[in-house]
Amino acid sequence: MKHGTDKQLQALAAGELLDDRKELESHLAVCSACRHQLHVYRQLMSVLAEAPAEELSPNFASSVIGRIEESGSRAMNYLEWGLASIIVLIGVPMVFAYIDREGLTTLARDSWLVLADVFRSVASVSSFPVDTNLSLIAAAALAVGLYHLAVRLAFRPR
Amino acid sequence: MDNDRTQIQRILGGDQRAFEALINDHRKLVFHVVARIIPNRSDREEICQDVFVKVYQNLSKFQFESKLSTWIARIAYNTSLSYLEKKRLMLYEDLKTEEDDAEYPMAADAWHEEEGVDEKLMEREIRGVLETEITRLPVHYRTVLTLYHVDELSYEEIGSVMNMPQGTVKSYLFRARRMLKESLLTQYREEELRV
Repeated sequence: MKHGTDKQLQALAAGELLDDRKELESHLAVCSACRHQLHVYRQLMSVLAEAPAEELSPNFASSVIGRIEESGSRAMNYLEWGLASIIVLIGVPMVFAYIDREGLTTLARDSWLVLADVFRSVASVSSFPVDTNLSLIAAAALAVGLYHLAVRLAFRPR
Repeated sequence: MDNDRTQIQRILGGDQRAFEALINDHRKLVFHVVARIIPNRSDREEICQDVFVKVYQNLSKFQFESKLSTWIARIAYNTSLSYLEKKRLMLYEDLKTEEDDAEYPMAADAWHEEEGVDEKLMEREIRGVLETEITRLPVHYRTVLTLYHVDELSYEEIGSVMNMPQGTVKSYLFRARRMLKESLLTQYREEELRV
């Protein structure tokens, strides 16, 4: 038999299945060059199989969980900012609308009418009497409910 | 796979301890992948943390198309490569510093008592040389070697982690071993390697 190929010797050193294993082993018995190559491969694989010393800190898992909670808090902050922005966006025209009832701008009156329609729709879905003040309460309750739902979702895996 | 499913369901249900267990089950695997790719020791812990944060964030998307460990190893591999790209490091450069060369412990326990001191020294030296040579291999070769020899993943699993065909995995593994062997043979005489 010819000298063993690198592929054969690697397979033998790694303990993998080899079709011509017996033939190769017979050759190795009489060929010191191939035995040497096999020996080097075995040395190599012994080193390769050594696991590197793990350098992660003992509280690694806690650190990861801390980072996830922190990012959850950040997500909650974004939600709070988002909610605050919505309140401002709704609240400002409402203030203007209130003033408008005393006779200010047309734009403010239009804003008020649109908002009033939205709140009435919410209120009607909620079986509230079609009354502006009660509509406002219903809308606020809905907003708080959605906010809490969003916060809960932010703390779960996405 | 069933264990994976149960563990994931518990984590998705908000069980923090289950996630902690997942981290502890897979931290070695993640570290092996990250350590083979990332040259700076000081960066590795943070990258390993990034890996597990991503695991947590994407856990609901895991479709059980592979073992959970394979999926996590893939995240570790991709996160490490992204880090290298961000740092604009060349993938095929010599990534290790002298300090890093000592990171893989010598198998002192494996030495036989009856062996002579010279033989032990030679074996230690050869192991040191091999470790240095491993760090000089291309990053894909190093990763394949680690996943196959240390973490004992199958060719199929390594292919899944590194997004490459099994044939490529086998080819990388073969070439990497041959390169290391040639390197040893050029640096040592035959009798020096007979330890």
